[in-house]
Amino acid sequence: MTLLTVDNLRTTFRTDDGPVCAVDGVSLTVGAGKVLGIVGESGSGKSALSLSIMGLLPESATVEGSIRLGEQELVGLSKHDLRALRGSEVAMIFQDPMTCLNPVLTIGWQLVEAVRLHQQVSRREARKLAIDGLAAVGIPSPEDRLRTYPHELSGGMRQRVMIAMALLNRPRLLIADEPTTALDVTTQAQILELMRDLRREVDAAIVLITHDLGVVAEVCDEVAVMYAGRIVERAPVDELFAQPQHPYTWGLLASLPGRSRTGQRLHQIPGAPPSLLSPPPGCRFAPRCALVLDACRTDPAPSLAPVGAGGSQVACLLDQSTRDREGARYAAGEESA
Amino acid sequence: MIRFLIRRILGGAFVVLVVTLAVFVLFGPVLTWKSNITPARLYAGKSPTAKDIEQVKTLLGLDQPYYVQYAYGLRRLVLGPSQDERDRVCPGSTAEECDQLLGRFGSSFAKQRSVDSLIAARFPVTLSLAIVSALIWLLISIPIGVLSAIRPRSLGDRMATVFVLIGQSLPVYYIGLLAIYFLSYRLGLFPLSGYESFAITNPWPWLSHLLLPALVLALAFAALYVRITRSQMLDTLSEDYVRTARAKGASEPRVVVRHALRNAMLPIVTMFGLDLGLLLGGAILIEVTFGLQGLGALAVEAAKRLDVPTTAGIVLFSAILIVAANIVVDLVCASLDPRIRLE
Repeated sequence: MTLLTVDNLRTTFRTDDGPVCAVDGVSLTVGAGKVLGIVGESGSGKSALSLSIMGLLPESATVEGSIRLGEQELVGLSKHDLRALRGSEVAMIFQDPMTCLNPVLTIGWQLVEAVRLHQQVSRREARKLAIDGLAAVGIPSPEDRLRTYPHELSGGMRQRVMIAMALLNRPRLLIADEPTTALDVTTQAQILELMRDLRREVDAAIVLITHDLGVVAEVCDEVAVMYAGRIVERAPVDELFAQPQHPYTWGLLASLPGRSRTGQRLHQIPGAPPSLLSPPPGCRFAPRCALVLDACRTDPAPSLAPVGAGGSQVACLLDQSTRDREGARYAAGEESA
Repeated sequence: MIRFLIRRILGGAFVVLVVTLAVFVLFGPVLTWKSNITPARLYAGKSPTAKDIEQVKTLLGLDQPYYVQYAYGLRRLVLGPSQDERDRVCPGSTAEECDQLLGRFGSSFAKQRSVDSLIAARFPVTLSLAIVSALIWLLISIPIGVLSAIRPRSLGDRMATVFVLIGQSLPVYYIGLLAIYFLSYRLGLFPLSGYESFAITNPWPWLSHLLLPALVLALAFAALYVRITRSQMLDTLSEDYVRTARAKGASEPRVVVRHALRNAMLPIVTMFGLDLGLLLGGAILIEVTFGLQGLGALAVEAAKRLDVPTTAGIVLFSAILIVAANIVVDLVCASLDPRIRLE
C-alpha cells in the first residue's frame, strides 16, 4: 500500500541572487513498511525534499506540486493542520544528535512534551510512554535517563533518544535525514541495526536520506539517486547495486571503498555539482559525464523511464547496451574509471 | 553547587583584594607623588602649619610606611575600625558617634564623616534608581527583541531598529532635560527633581520621584538590550534543537518561549548582571540631571573637592558590587544552563 506519494515536487528558495530550485520536479512513492533511500551528495536537494515533506521550510521557500500522505494532500495545508501532523503522523530524525536536543531541558521533559503535544494523556502516562520509548531503542535504565541532560549522553545515546522521540506517537512516515553521519563507525552500525529492527516493528514508511551507499545497502528496499535537485535513477536496492544505470550512480559506486581496490586512491567524479542558480540545460550531470552525448546538453532534460524487468527507472539518454556494459563494470566494483 | 559557590566567592575576594591594592596605590603614593596633595594637608583644614600637618599625620597613621598603612587599611576594611583607632580619632565619644566618623572605607576630610555613613546615606537612592530602571528596561527590551527576531525585517522590526538608534545615540542628559521640561515642567506629571525615601505604606512619592529618571535611564539600556535580545534570539531560532521542536509539532509561541528563549537568555543575563553592578556604583549623568543624591552624585562631589577617601571608598564599594553581581550572574547562569555546573 502506498503511503507517501510525491508528485512533481518543486521547492524554490528566494535568495538575494535569485530563485534557487533545490528540488526540481521530483516524484516518488513509498509504501507502508518500506524503506526508501535517497542518495546524493551535499546540495543535491535531499534535505530540501525532506523538509518540504515536513513543512519545515523557511518562509523564503515555495513548494509546488503534490505531497500526499495516504489520501491527504500536504502541499497547501494550513500551518495549524501541518503542525498537527508533524510529530504524530510524520516524524523526523536529524543528522546531528549533538545539536538536535535542547541543551537546557532534560531528556524526560523533551520526551514528555513530544507525547503531550499529540496525545491527551496525563503527565504520568506520558512519562510511562517516554520510558517505554527509551527502552524500545535500547537505552539502559531508561527511568534514570529521563532526568539527564543531553550533554550527559554520548552521541549514539542521543541519537537513540531522537529516534525514540520520533517514534513516540507511532508515526506513519518517518524521515531520517542522515541519521548516522555524525556518529562514529561502531555507533553507526548500532543505530542502523536499531533502525532495521524498528522497521519490522513499527510498520511505518521510512525515507532514509544519506550520502552513504553502504547505509543504503544495509537498510533500504528501494533507492532514489538525486543529483542537482532531480532524481536521476530509481531502483530496488539489489538492482541498483547489480545493474546501476546512470553514469552518476556509477561514479558514486566507484567512489566507494571496496575490498578489491585496496591500496588504490578512491575514485572521484571530476568537476563539481552545478550551481542551482543557473543550472545547465538538459541533463544536469552532462558537464561531468564521461559518456556525454550532444543531445544530453539540450533541453528538455531526460525524464525517468523504466529499464529492464527489475523495476528500475533511469533518466539518461545513453542507449541500453552502453548502459548495461558500463553498469556491469561498476557493479562488479572492479573499475575505477 | 556549594563548592561552585565557595570557589566563586574566593575568586571574588581575590579580585577585591587586587582592587584594594590598586586603589591604595593610586589614591595614596601615586597621588602624593605627582601633586602637592597629601591627605594630611587636606585633612588639616585651611592654611595649616607644618605642626598641624605632622599632628594629623600621626592621628591618621600617615607617618607609617606605605605597607603598614595598606595593612591597616585592609584590616579596617575587613574587621572595621580598631579600638585603638577609635581611641585615637574620637576619644571620649560613644561608639555610635564614633561610627559616624570612622568606618571600614575610611573618613572623609571634607565632611568630617565616615565614608561608610556617606555611602549608606546615598546608596538607597542609587539602588532604587537601578532596580526601577532595570525592571523597566527588561520589560521593554526582551519582548521587543523577541518579536523582532521572530519577524526579522518586518515593519515592527524596523521600528524597533529606529528605537534602538534613538536610544543609543541620544545622551541621557539630553533626553533627561527634554523629559523634565515637557513632562515635569510643562505637564506637571512628575516632580521636577529630588528623591523621597521608600515607605511601604505609601510608595507613591518614592516612585513618582524615581519614575522619570528611571525611564530615561531605561531607554538607553533598553536600546542596547533590544539589539542583543534580537541577535541572540535570531541565532537560537536557527539552532537544530529549535527545528526539532518544530518537527515535534510544537506551536510557534511554544517553540519561541520554551525552547529558544531560555537558551537565548544566557548572554543577556550575563550582561544584565554586569550592567546592574555598574549602575549600583552610581549613575552619574542621570543623578546629576535629575538632582538625585545618589552614589554617582556623591562621587562627583567628592572628586571636585579632592575628597580622596570618599572617592577611593566609592571606587572600592562599586568594585565589590560588581564582583558580587558577577557571582550572582554565575549562579543564575548555572541554574539556566545545566552544562555550566560541571565546568
